[in-house]
Amino acid sequence: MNELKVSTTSAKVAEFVRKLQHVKEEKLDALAGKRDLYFA
Amino acid sequence: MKVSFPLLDNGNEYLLEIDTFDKHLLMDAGIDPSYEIYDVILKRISGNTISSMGALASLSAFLYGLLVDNPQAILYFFCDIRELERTPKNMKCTPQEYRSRLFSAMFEHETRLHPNVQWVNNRIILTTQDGSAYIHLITLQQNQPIVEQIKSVIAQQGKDELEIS
Repeated sequence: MNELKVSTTSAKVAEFVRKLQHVKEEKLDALAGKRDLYFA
Repeated sequence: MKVSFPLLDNGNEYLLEIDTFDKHLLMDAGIDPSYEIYDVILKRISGNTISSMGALASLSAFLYGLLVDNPQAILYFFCDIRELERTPKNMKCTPQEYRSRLFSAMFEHETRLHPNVQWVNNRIILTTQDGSAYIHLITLQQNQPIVEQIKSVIAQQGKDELEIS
């Protein structure tokens, strides 16, 4: 796995992440049912 | 491109959706919107039993086939932060980190089956005041320079405020 870790206090990046989360939740909420797989 | 992959396994019904990533979000982040980035959405539609490894294998095989058939594609998976059902041993990490591990497990499973296919699982961990977000970009090696550009743009967004490790 190729990994990039970024820690930032940037409000712009925080806002970008919030937008990504919002878009994801909208798409998930548009589908019926539970949200995930469940592995033991 | 919009593709849906329904899957029935062990009494559970899943839906894997592949949809074009919102180009406005890319532009807002300063990323070139000409790349073919596809949003991966996975959801359980019905059933409440533990997901089998067979389900994992079917989903990862579908994603593998998608990339082979669309070699220019970059798959994007954002690990959302809502709580999810999991065993106590997996409660030490955040929901988004747990989802990231599952997504990587799918990738690694398929990689073992196709060792000659050069594809890359890029994980970006963005830690802000809200916590850590886990983002995966998966693509064939030939598109890795594009992914590196995207990662570079993301890393530059905070400029002097960033601490990159």
